[in-house]
Amino acid sequence: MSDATQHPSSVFLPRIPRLGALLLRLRFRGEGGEALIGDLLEEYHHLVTADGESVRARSWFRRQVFASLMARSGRTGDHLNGRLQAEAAGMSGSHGAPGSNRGFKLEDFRLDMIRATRVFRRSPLLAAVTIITLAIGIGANTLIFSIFSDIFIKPLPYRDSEQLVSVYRIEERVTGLDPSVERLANLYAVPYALYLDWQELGIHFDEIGAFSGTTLTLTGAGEPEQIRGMLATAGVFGALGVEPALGRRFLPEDDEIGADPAIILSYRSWQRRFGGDENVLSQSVSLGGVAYTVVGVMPQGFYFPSGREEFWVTFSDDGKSSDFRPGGYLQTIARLSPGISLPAAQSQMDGVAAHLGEAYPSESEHGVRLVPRHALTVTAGRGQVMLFLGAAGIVLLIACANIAGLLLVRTMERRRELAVRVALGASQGRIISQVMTESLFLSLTGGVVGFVAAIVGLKPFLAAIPGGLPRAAEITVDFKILLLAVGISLLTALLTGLIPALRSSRSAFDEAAALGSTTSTGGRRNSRTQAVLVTVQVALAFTLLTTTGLLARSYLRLTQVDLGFETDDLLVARVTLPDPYRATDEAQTRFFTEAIAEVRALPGVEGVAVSSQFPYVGGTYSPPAAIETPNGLYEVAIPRLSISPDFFQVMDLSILSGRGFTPDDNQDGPAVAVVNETLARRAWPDSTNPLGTSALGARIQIPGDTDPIWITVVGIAEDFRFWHEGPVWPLYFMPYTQDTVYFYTFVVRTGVDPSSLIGPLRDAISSLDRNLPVAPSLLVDRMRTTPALIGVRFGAIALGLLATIAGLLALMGIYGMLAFTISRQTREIGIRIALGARLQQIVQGVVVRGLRLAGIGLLAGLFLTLLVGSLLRSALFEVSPTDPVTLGAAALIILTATLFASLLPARRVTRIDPVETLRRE
Amino acid sequence: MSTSLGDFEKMILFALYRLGSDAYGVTIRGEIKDRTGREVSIGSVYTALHRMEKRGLVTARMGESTPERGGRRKKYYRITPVGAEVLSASYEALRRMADGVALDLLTYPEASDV
Repeated sequence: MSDATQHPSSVFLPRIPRLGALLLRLRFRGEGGEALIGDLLEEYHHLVTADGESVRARSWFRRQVFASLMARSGRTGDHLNGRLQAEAAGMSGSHGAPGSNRGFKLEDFRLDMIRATRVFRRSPLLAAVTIITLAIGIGANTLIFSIFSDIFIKPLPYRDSEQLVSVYRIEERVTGLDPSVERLANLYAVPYALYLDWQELGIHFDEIGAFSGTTLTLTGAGEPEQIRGMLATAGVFGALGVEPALGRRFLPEDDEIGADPAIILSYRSWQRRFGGDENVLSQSVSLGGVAYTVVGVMPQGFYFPSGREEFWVTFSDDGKSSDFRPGGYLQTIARLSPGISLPAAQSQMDGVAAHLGEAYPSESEHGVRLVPRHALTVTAGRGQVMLFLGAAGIVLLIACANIAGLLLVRTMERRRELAVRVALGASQGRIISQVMTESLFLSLTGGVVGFVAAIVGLKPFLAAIPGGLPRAAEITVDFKILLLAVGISLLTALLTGLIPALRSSRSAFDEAAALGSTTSTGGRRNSRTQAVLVTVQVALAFTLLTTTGLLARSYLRLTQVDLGFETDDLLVARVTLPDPYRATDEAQTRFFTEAIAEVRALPGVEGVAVSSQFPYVGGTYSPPAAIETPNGLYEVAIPRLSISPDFFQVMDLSILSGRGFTPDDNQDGPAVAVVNETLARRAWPDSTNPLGTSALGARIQIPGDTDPIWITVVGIAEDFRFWHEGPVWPLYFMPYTQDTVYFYTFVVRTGVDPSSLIGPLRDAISSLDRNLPVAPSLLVDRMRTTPALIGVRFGAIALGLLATIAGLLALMGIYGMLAFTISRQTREIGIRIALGARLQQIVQGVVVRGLRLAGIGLLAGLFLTLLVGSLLRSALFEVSPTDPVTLGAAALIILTATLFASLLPARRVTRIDPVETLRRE
Repeated sequence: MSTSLGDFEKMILFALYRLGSDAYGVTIRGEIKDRTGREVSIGSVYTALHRMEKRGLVTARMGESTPERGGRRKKYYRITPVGAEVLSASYEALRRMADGVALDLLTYPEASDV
């Protein structure tokens, strides 16, 4: 362009886009294509010389090239006006035979599409609002659906994963105890010996493997670190049917007693810790003081069972040779032989269980149950995903009702145009398809925007879900999701377009019959439809709002729950001792006794104790035990807490009866236990005793090295909760000097800001052993970040967002409807004002109309809420699905918002000038 | 031969008639724009002209080239006698329909209100 101004004498020609020129030549071959291009250049040159600047000229030039390409042979004129005329001509031709116009015509569709884009170019605000609304609805649904389908429908990433089952032991005949103890006693984990029996006798399994989660301390590579992995037998990898990327999987030889400890690394761990070194095979890795030889690396993307495992190691010889049968700690995975159904395998295993019951008395009370692996993997996130799925669906429905309302208003405003088209011979089908095309255009545009948003938002959304969703790494955006988005868009088009299309086609015919009169005929019917749409929106928004409210209240309840002890000034730190310490109980006890002394000496520490299990620190563990009752001995699985004597004092738990522990309760003294109130009352009920129990002096049996050990109950302690949810668990305590484990949680009560003691606490413990990883944290922080709690909070926030969108959409609906009604009634209102009606009355009328609609919507929403409430129950905590406070608050919010939404259009009434209105009519 | 003409075709034929021997793409577009205010694409002009050429309503001849046209030659169009006849008949039909009401349309609907 600068050439043209600098050298006026020379002729500057714009470069025609090569493709554009080629297309122009092809398009106008034999019709003077070269001459046409010449004309374009000539005019461009004129424009440049006349204007002196060429930006406008260039834009003109591009538009011309484009428009010329779009000009189709067979139609006349410039590309919009001419076509409409041509079409009108075509319509009048078929006027006499409306039936001949039936059926889908591509050309008609194209024209409708062009018209739709033009219509929305004219009202960009309306278009923007609708497209954004739909994008939110469609995007949210695409996102949630894609997550849903990948988690729940896609097969697990193992060979023929539908053949995979987990085999569990069930307890069938525990009787004589309180029913809730019975439920807790329904142990599913399996002892190693039983797994071996199943491997031998389960003839319908191709392979069966056993595994158990473990956290081991990695040493010898920088800072000691606790990493998470799995104990696994060869059958695990055999059943899964996945080959390692490098090396071999575990072989049956690895399961034999005396085999060298072997480890298989996850791909991620191999990359991160070994830099992807191919020579990693046969290297040695020190975990928990044991040297494992690397035999393989699993392929990228492989996970079992959760995706958090960094390694899989063989069982220790102790584990392999254990013939302890009562208690189990293993899970199993088995591959059904080809052609074997689940029921067939189940009934064969029932037979095996019966045989085992005869061989081993302890097995006689157990049954066996086969559960498809898929069901196990995905149940975890199901509730949450279903909740989102429902909420996203509701938002889409509201968006549809909203857009349907807007389109209805639009078609009513255009009734004259449509009537003219009917008069020109357009059939009802043509009118319907025109209106439908508009909603199709909107939905598809909204769908594209929503789809893009879903792609962009998927990863952040998944990352934001606390604790992650199962199989999250497998969730991807693919072609299937595009199809899904298109599908949802088409559905949306149908939902939003059908009502306005049917209504407008009918009213267009009525209108055409009465063409020329200023009053509308289909008006009443249309405003009734509109009212129904608004009511539906309010009802749905109310339902979503109450659901959100209920979840929010659940969250509040969860955070405020009383665990039975003061949590604010507690610091916790879990310490797991490596193998050298585990040689003797004394070594372990000595370490913790010394560590307790170190910590107690810290300024600011008011009390310190250790416990093998503690709320919000790790999982729970129920070692095998049996309780002695007057009716006999019953095997139970209830948590046993190994504690230091100060535990009750540090926790401020009263001893209700009997005594707590003293330093004298050591290996030399008789074995003693303290039970909590719940266990005492359930296991040894006694109505004659003021505490309702005769637990003192009762006995509990636990397995010993040679003979079983009898423990005597010497005290009953106040209950405390282990988790926010569920009932208080029955449990019992033993002194750490009698029941010693290699892992303990330090519980430190502080008199100062607990976070100021995190560093000193870490230093105090690791001063005893530099190789020990210690990471103290505030108990309240752990409580806040517990997955169950975050889950509820995330759910409440995400739903809150959706509910806010839904509420705003519904208000837009109410506002739009009232505003439109008023604009239609301008004349009537003008007359009423002229006749002396007071402004206030009219405004009141509008507001009352809005509130009435909201009220009807609320009633419908209440009904809906009660309907879905029962589905919601499992997601709620100590809040009834019909919680009146939540329902009332939601109703109040909607009514208040409605009031404002109605007052805004009502204000227009005050601006009506009766004289002006009447003159215009 | 059909005597029906679209509005756009009528406009082009009138433009050809007015422009006489100087009727080619640029001037035809200019004439329509000057008189009706409608900006039409050069492609649609050529499309219509080509169709009317086949119907024998217009004839074309190749003319001279100029530098600002990138050396491309002009294609001049002229209305044929048949074209003139069809245009006349088509316009006359429209004119008859409009007879006596064209002015009233401007004030519709008041004028026709009962």
